[in-house]
Amino acid sequence: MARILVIDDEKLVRASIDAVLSAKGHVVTLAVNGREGLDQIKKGDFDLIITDLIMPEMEGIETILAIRKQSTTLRILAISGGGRRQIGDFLESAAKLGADFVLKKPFSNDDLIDAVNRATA
Amino acid sequence: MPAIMSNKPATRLNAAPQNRLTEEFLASVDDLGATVLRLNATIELGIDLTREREPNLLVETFCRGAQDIIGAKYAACGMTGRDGHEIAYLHTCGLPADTADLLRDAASQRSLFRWMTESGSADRRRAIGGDIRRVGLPENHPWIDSFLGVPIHGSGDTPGWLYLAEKLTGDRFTDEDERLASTLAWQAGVAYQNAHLHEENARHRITLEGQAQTLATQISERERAEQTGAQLQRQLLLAQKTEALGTLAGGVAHDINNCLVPITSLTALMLETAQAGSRDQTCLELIKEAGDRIGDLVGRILVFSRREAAVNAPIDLAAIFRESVNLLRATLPATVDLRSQVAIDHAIIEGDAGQLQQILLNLCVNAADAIGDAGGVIEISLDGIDLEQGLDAVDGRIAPGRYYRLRAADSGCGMDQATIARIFEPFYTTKEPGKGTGLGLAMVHTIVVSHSGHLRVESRPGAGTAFEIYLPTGEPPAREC
Repeated sequence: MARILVIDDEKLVRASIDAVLSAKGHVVTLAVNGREGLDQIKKGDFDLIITDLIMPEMEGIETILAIRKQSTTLRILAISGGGRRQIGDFLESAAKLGADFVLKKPFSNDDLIDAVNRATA
Repeated sequence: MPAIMSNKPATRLNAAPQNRLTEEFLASVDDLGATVLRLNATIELGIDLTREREPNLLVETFCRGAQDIIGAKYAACGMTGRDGHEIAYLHTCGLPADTADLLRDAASQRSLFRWMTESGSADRRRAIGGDIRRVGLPENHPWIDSFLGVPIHGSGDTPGWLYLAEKLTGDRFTDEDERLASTLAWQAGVAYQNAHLHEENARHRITLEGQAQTLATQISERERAEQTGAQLQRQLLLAQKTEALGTLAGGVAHDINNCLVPITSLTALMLETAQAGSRDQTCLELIKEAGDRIGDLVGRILVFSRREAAVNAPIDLAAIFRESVNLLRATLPATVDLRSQVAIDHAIIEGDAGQLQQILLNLCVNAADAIGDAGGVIEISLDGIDLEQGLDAVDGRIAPGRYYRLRAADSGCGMDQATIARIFEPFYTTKEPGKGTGLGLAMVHTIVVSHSGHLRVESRPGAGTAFEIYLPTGEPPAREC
């Protein structure tokens, strides 16, 4: 069981990840953008942060950089469904700037659970 | 032309004059015979001069002919060039070589020759007694006693002269000799002018032929440029369509992928607890299948619009080929006779294994569709090839070099030129609605281009289709020594 913060502006994604991970016994907290996610991190104690990369208000890369300023050990899993550039570009940038793991949308439940297990191991 | 050896026929020697009348009659016969002979020789020389096109040969023919007809020990003919002074062509008969050499210089300078060409008048002398300097000939000229020089008239100018020296049958050149020499010189002048005109015509013809050749080359270059332009336009159109779709795909892929997360994740989650064989399970499986298919479609769009990053690594095309053949045998309809041939053990290139496998799968699926239910043959092969010369391809020209060639040919319905021109456009399909996305060949094209490769297609309605893919090996072309 792990304490996981999911940051994604898309309700469908947040709810789906919540459902899948909760079913596996994890405790999931949700945030709709980077700013709200950082507030949650200040308040709570998390084992893993799952963050989308393209979001309004405060986007994912910015969020990852902000988290890394606060903690160098907190595990981060970046997820992305692509944008105007190549999907790989975003995830690659995220990995270089502080994300420990990356996962490309759409992903299967097995991929997600596997990534979470590795990130919280 | 017969040589004139003598103007005294044999009858003259055998005839014994019986009285003055008879003698005068016979003399007249002699003169007539000599005149006929001269006339014949003159006509023949005229014909020879008319036929001759080379100025130097014409001068030689004329010089020899005049010497024979008029009967002189020595003869020389000089023709000036375009400046009217320098001797361009010179021929001598009977003169030693060193005299001929000096004559060329003398003819350009000495007043006699200059006088003849400038005045257009003849010069006839006798009783010279070897006083060569008086005549104006080179000092090493052989001894002479008689001399006849005539100008050679052209059209409006006097391009040359002829001289005869040391009359063979007498001590002087006669009025008749001068008239005859002048007539012959006139013929030579016309022939010389014709020869020049002919030479000029030939030069113009060569110039014109060269210009025609240049024009033909320019036309063919222009046609080639137009063809290249049309091909570039087609490539640009294809690139623009791909780019437009890529931009669109990039924009919507993010949203579609987000929407797919609950469809695939939650159905999978619910399927874990759904009762086996229940209606819920059937419905959830259908939803999941639909989600997977949408995910696959978005992935394809991203690949061919180059939004999906390729995984570049050293791969073995031959291994991918064999693996794909196994996969195709399991999935293609039984009515398709799949024949494969790999001519090389390994074909290592830098590329994306998944994308390259996709090429072969897409081509074979298309081929199977083209074959239809009636059945047919798909032949696929992989080999290495050295291209010594360039080759036209869909996206330009394949440069000479060493390539791996992937070929997929089918015995299906084939395509017309209008269809071939559009098959690589995204969303262009000839299949029934719901049977094709129109992305298969667009993907193939994009993948080939992203691997620095080239595509060729040959097809005719009713005669099947063959695709050839050339992927550079990265090695220099092999050369046979």
